[in-house]
Amino acid sequence: MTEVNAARDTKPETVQMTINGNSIETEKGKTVLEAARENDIEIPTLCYHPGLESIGACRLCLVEVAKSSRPGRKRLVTSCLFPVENGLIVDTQSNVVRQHRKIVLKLLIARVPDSDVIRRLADEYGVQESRYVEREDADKCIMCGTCVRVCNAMGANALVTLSHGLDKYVDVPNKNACIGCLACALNCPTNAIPFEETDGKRRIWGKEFDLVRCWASGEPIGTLEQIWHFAKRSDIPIESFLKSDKVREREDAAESVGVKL
Amino acid sequence: MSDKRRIGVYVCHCGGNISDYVDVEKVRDAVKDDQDVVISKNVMFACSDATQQEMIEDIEKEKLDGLVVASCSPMLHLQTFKAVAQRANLNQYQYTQVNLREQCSWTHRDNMEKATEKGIKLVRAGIARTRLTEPLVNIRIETKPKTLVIGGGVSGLRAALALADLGLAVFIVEKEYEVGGWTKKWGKMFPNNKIGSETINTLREQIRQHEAITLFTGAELIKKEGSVGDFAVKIKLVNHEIISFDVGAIIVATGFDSYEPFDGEYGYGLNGVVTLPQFKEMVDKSNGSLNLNGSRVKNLAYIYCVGSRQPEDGDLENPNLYCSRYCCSAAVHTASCVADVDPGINQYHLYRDMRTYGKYEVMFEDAGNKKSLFVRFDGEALPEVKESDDSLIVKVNDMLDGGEEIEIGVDLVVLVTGMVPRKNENLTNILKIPIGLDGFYNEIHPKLRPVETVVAGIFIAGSSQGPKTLAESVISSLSAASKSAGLLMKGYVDLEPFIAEVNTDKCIWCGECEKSCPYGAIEKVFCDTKEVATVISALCKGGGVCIPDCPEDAIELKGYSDNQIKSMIDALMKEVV
Amino acid sequence: MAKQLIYTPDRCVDCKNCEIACSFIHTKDITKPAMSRVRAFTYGDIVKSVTVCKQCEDALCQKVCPTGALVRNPETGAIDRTDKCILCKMCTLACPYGNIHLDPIYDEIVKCDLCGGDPACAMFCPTRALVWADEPVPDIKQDAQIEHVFNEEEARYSANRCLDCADCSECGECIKACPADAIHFDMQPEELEIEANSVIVSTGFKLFDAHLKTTYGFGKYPNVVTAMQMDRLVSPTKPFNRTLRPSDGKAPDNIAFVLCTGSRDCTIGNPLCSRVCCMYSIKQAQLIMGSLPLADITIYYIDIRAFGKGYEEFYQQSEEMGVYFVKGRVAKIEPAEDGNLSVFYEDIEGGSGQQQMEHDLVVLSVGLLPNMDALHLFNNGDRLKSDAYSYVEEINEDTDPTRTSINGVFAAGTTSAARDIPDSILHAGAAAVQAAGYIHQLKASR
Repeated sequence: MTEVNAARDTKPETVQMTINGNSIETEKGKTVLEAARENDIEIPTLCYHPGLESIGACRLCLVEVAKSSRPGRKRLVTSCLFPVENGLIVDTQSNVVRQHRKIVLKLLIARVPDSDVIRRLADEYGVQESRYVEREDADKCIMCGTCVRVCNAMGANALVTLSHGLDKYVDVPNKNACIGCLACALNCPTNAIPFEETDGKRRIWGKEFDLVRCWASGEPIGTLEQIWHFAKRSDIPIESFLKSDKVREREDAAESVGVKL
Repeated sequence: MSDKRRIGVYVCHCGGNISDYVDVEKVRDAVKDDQDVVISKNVMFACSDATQQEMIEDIEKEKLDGLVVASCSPMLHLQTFKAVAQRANLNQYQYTQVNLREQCSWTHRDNMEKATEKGIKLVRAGIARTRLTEPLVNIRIETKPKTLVIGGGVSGLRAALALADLGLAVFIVEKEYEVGGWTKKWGKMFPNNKIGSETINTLREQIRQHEAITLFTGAELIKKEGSVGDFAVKIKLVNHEIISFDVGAIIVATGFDSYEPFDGEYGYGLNGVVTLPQFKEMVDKSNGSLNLNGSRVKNLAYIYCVGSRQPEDGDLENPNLYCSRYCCSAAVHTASCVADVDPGINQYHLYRDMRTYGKYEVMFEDAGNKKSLFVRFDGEALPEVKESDDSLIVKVNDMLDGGEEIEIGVDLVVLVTGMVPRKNENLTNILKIPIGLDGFYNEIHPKLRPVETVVAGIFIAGSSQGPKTLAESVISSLSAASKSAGLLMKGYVDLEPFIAEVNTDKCIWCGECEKSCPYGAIEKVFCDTKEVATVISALCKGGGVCIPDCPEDAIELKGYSDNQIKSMIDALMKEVV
Repeated sequence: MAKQLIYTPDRCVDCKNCEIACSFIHTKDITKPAMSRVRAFTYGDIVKSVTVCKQCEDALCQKVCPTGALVRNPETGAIDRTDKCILCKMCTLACPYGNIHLDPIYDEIVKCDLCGGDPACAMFCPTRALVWADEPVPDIKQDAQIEHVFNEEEARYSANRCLDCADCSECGECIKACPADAIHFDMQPEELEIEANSVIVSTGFKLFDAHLKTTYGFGKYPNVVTAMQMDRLVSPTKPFNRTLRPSDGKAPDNIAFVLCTGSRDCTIGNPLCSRVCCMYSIKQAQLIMGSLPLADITIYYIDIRAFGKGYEEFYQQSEEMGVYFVKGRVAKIEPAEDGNLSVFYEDIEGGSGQQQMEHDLVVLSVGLLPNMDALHLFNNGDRLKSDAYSYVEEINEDTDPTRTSINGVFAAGTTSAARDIPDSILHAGAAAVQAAGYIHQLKASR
């Protein structure tokens, strides 16, 4: 039986606005970025992730907006945070916006000169070099805060930002909190978080985890801490986690035809 | 003759274990009117809480002064029912257990009539003995909170630390001038590659910091007297000085010897044939390459089970039938170490069974990954080692390949030698602890009492009890420390009161009893004006050897007096109507 | 009513059409059946089945997703994985049917999305095992004759024999029968709080579940039993007072032991040796020779690990008593006639390669696995660290055994490694003195 999305019953308010001269209809509550992406209008981002709260950290998504009542009064805003409203006029490719993007990309190149991801993005927007001074001993972290947000969404809350200003960095101060799930590393836009898996152990953030293996297939499922964490948060008994999804699939199919494996 | 007694008799069903084969009701009825029997009952499970409670109530209400329970073997519940008696304020030695199960129902399942008859006789004998019991009190010996550890190897050192951590004083007596035994000679040891000499140094340092531990090196035990809780020992130092002190318990941790192959055994004696400990020294000292007589070793073979698993009906006079346990693991670990020194060396392992048990299994895999090759041979067809030009040839039937005979040319043959018991005849005679068939010290029971010997207060630990790895030796020595501490920390030990007693009126001091006692528990004393024998209660084990030797019937065993035994025989012979 | 993906696994013939179609539609490059969202299986060469996401009403995957990336599509009714996914992989662990996976190449979570409303698998399934319809569709073989084995009377008679003995009916007969008043139905679990200075964890081990070694047929063939079951069949209180085999109650006369079941085996994830199985198998063989003096007993082994005190002598004795020891790992066990079993092994010492031997009873010598419940015991603050094999770790097993990663907590027995009884007892003694020493030091330092 199909489940009808409850939200649909109470129809959200529609909003009419223009992006780059095109009339767009969207829903109240969305951001300019979402509205643009829905309509295949490109705005580059680094710290935006649809599943996480936007924080406007990278400044790459800046666009010019103006209200229809005063079209001359334009200002630069972060499209990932700015809510849509009726009559809003958005320009994602004005000279000001382009100029601004270039500055942001040049600053990024200086911050993470070794990052291929940033170089390619910069290249797309016509930036090949930067006159800003390269950061000394630079890693690939652009302080976008994605890893911290992901870790909070996971419920582990292990990653935090420390110190201030230019010295700001991301780290795991309480090693006990890290569950080794690798969500931070997999979502980092510049792959700045190193990790390795060898000898049945996973190492990340200076902590070593033992990998639990599926008893049937021998393949690693995750770290012990990860599994406990999931078990606690989902009330699913921990024994279920000791079989990989492929093994469970095989068992489910077997059960449905009465085969006992 | 004793006064009238008030004895309670409980005949147990044991849930059918007894009552299915013995008519327990008939047994109850047969004895209920016997002399001195006040209560005769059947119970379903005598050992159950409810029945124990019932017995206590009966004892108190009926003022019973004797208890007989006809149930299972005393091995199971003697202590249970003695405790029932104590809780009811009845002396625990006024209780007799009759074994109606292992000695009656379980052995005579096919004839209920006869089994019942036997049951009645057994219960009657129990009642007869109980009529003549008297209240006895355990002999309490105050223990000295000190221990003697014989052997300063890794087992002895670790046991000493564990005891000192519990506040007990420890004396370690080590024969050599340095502690550390075998371990201090070795480099990387399996499974965690810890350096043996460093391990010993760490333990030595920890011991140094413990004020409660006194270490004697170059010393030997020369005398031991006394018994559990209070031993008087004498040790001799290098300069022949003799030191005496008292201890409450003794732990024997004298370790093992390495098997020395006889001349010609797998080519032993030829240039290039070495034992595993000798080889280990070579590997530990090697630096970048493994050399023998100046030239680089390129091929080497290990022959396993040398000195262990020897055939019973072969040519050897005293074959070692046992497995030395540590050697398979040690050999594959050594092979991995060798491969780390020189990955180009070809290593061949000629084995019978690869006994890398438990987590040591991964070391076997590791050796194989580092290019070791494994060849299996049968105990019936042993490999041969021959000289050839300036190298060695090993000939073997490869059982992993259908028994095909192969010849391997090598520069070095390592005989993987086992552990043999240390020759400690002096010590064994002084302590009088028994040796097993394999030559190692014997524990009372490998599962239930693995570190205790038949001599109360003397414990065995480490490889003196049997071949062990380093970790296993430490575990066993900690277990021995546990038992010693358990004994001593109470401050006293209770011995059973079943000892011999001399009737000084009858005794004429002929000296026969003193001669017969294997524990030296009888001595001559003056009593009034005459010389008589007297029993040293701490030493008497209740063996009873002295009883028949006395020509005057002047000596008796408490709890098993002649009258008691005679009345039991009378009861057994009485016809059952 | 809206259409849904109806699947009838009995009809599956494992033709793999669905897997190919699914991966063709979904993967970014050419067909990659490894990442198909629907999967077909064959069991034992005979039975086929298919499984796919059931788009559950109360889906566990949706429940555990931290970012709400799994969303019900109102048009198709499928639960779609949106781009809110942060790759935490909780969903892959939560789904009890294992129908949601991580694609390791593209690093994305994949699950069935009903192809947006026209599932490709259903389109290509030739036997109607997968169908996109609003109600079940009849079998292709519509006019197949169904053979009735029983008539109604016979069926009822057989059904009435059922005792439904799997469950306690709380009739209370056991309470009446027990002479010791040991049974109380109203006993409730009680929680006790105890403050201690030191803890000894001796939570034992788990036995390998022989079902996981699928090639040995445990659970499929009645005369393949585990050593634990065999122990019951040779115990002094054995059922029927004789050793009989399960399928037909015949006294077996050709028994095989398969050592290393669940040990020294990377296919089921346990590379370690379980230490006790060689010896307990030899012991059982001796006991069988007592109760069935005419039986032939064969032990298939890789290495006989008789390393303890008296063990080698015991092994030699059993060989002299007539037990056959065959070196050769058993690859698989197949059924033969009359409930017998064919054991396939490699004849290493005879050199004749793969061999087959018929036995009427096979005993699987199952190994020891760690009891991972022990690892959860301490949940606030320091945790009990496990070693590489999921046993409780002894942080310095060489000279400070039984000590765990938590100060004051000691492991005893098989909690930290597979051990036999004598070694467990010694280890327990070590744990006792370590715990006592720890407490003594605590008191001394106050």
